[in-house]
Amino acid sequence: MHNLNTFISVGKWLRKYAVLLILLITLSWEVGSTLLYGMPPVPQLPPAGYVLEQGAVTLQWNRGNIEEPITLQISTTEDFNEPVFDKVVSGITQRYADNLERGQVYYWRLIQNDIPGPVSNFVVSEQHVNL
Amino acid sequence: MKTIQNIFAYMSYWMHRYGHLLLPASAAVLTFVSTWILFGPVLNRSGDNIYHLMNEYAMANGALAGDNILGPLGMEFGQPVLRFYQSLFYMFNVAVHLITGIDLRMVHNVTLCICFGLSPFTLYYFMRKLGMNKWTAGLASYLSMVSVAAFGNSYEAFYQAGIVTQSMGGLFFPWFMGAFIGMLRGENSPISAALLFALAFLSHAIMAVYATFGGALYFLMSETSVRANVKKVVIFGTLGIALVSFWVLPFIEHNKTMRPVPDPIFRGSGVHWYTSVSTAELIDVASAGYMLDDARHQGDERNDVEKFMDKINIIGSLSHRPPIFSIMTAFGIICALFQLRKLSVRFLLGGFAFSIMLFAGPDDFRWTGYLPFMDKVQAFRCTYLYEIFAFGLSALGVESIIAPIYTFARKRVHWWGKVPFFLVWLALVAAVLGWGGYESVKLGQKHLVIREPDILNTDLDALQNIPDRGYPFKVEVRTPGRPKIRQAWFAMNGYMPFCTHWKGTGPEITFKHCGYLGTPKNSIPMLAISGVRWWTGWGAEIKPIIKEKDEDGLPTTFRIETGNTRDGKPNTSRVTMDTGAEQFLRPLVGSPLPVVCNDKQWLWLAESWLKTYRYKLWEESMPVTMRIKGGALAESGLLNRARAIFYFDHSHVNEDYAALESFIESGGVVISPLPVEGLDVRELGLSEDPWPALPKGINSAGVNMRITLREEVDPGLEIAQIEHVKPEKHTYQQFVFDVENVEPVIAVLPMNLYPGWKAYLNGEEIPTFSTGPDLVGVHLEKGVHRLKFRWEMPVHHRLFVYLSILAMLIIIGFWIRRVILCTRNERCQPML
Repeated sequence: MHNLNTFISVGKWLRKYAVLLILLITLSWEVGSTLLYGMPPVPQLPPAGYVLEQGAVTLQWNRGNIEEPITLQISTTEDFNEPVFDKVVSGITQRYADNLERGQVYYWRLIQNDIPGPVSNFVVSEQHVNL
Repeated sequence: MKTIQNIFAYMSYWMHRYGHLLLPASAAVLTFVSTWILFGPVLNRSGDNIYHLMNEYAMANGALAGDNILGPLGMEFGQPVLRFYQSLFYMFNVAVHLITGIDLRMVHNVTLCICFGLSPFTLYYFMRKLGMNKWTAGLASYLSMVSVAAFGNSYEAFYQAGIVTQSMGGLFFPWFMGAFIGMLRGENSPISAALLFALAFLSHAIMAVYATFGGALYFLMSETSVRANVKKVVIFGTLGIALVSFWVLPFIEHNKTMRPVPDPIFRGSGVHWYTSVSTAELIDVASAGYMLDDARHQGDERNDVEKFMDKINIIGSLSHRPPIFSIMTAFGIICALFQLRKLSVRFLLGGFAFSIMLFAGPDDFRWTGYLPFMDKVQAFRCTYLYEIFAFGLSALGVESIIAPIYTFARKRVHWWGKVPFFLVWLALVAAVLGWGGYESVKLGQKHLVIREPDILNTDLDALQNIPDRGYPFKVEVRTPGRPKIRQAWFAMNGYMPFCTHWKGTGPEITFKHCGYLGTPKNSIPMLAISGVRWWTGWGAEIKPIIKEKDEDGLPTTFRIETGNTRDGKPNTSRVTMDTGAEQFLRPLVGSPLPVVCNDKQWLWLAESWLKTYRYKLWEESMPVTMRIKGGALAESGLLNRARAIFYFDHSHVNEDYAALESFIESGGVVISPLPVEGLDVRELGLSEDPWPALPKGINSAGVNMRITLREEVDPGLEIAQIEHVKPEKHTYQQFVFDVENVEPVIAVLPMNLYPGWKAYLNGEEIPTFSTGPDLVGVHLEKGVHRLKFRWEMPVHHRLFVYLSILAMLIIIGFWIRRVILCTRNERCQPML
């Protein structure tokens, strides 16, 4: 009974402070790591899961604040074993239209200092047209 | 002496009991002092304000003509202005104007000023409901007028960006938040909370997002019992959604079907327009004091960080100050960390952190990507949200200093012990209040811009002399750039405005269409499909148009006889008119090209068609795209007239199979990106352009870029005689024409095919199609016809209206019942 009361008390305490702690810790962690290590590039557009219905796709990213070269990789597989595009890029956008296949999911990511960043993806519609 | 003592005692009592209300009252007074020059029928030409006033005039004029104000009006090829996201402000002002007859400019301005000026009271109410001390809440509301947010309830938004309609949201959103908190605690009725939610939502759609986030955050942080609140939340949610259904459900449908490309993609070039400000960038602007102040680093030079803040805060700021508010908020955050036991402090701190993370968005905080509406949240709108929490935190910081000093002073036994502490306390209070008051006045005086109508009337007079060209409205007006004050002034006086502000919420193809019309020299042939002739005003664009000549070497424009202004001065240099055709209903020859596609594909196809065929609009060898819903191919009535079909969307291919089969058997060509089993379709490769796949006889693309302007060589007009039957009252929702055409034509009404447009040929309904760039099109066989176009509100939209009315009646009935019950029971306290 004593343990149960303790458990309930802890639960109530957590309920009061959990959300705040999560928010503060998350924000502090992000700010702290940015100040200490800098910000790597992050995919921005198109949003993950975007369906490309027409023409080419323009990939856009936030280049972060680390002054090192960025490599863009595009692959038809999540493991990026055989990327269809693998080049150092400048700027924050890259247009891609090579070898697009209807119904194919394409994964893309940015690599800096040999550290791969988050992965985003887009899919070419089965009814993709070129206009 | 005794009287003086009594007076002093009474004042002391009153100050103790109600003195805190002087803080929001002072903020309101300072606001009214700054905005008093708007209390009249004047044109506030700051930012977008004039555009909203123009929309209100369109609604008012439409209502007077008997049009449905929720339907298309005379704005930008028939846009329904109430699908813009500030509907309550529009409806309220138009209603007051129509009922009272007061000048709409004055109604607009006064509503704006009152909402803005009284908003400190609702912020005070919200802070008190949170549980903050009454003086702290009062101080927070007083400080709210020093906001520099370019969106929301601030002078910066009020004047600089001109985003003024959400002043109503600034009034109702805090009020709703207070009522919602009260509802969870059992102090407020869920019905009243639902009404306030609806008012906040209809004031500005983003307020609904804030309300959802804020309400959920409070609920998670508080110790509110879930079980005890289920019924209340259900009532609140059901009524709230029902109240706003007349607007929000068609709005969602409108954005889904008429703006099929998501906002972040559509505005992808503005990478910081949507929440995508990186943590690194946030650290830069926050550490430089820009997020809460308009700090300026070096004299008059704007540094990169300042420019960046202007970019994500929508527009450059006019006022600059040291980072005082930033320091107060930072100090408030530190003080808050020692008071986390209080729910109000936890909510303010958590809310501030959350809104900062919202500002950055899913790029840095992936979990925010799972929140609803995140793809709709724009970076600059987040400024308002984190500032609300900052007001509370900075007030908390001030309280943390002056409250102990005050308490310490009071506890001194001897008066000479009290005085020093009291003086320190007084100095601090005076500093904060004085700075806040000074900033309020300075911000207010900096931003107000009034435009005198005399200059505008000079150009308006020129337009009055233009002869009747047979259009259903006066004339279309074009001026360079975005909705400038001249264009708005013309629109307010009954002239149809050129493309304005609808990139944000209007159909994308209409916006692109307007873009083509924006470069007059290149777009003169497009006027045939747009159905109107344009008037240029002045500026750089007028010169190339004046020099333009047609194939006979004759000028395409002529200077109209404009006469004199009201001051007797000639205004002949003000406007010119081109010599285009006169019909509003535009007949096009060419082959109807049925297109079955999804919304995204139609957007691209229509844009591509504009680019490819705008110089061929008079030629028979031209495909005229006419969009048909999947599954409705057989009923379209076009298959025996068309020679090819673009079949891009296969969602309803089973329903269309028979029609496709019959079409191919009769010699037609079906062009599709996918094969259709059992049918011989022309399959498009992934990188293949569909236009060259069309049969040669109906594809004149790329041949002969000759521009034909003269009416005598326009076969579209030669083969048809059209007369507009003038209605009793000018309306944008019904057009009647008497048509005599010697060849089959595709008749295009230059109104956007907003859902609800119907066509009747000699009394019988005929199909309408989204034609060319999404305008209303019908196919006419040769003959003599009476053709009527009428907009009828879709049935499901009407049901939403009835639902909202029903919800309102329920609320009124609840209040009446409550009042009656309370009059019978002395102990009853009406729960609002």
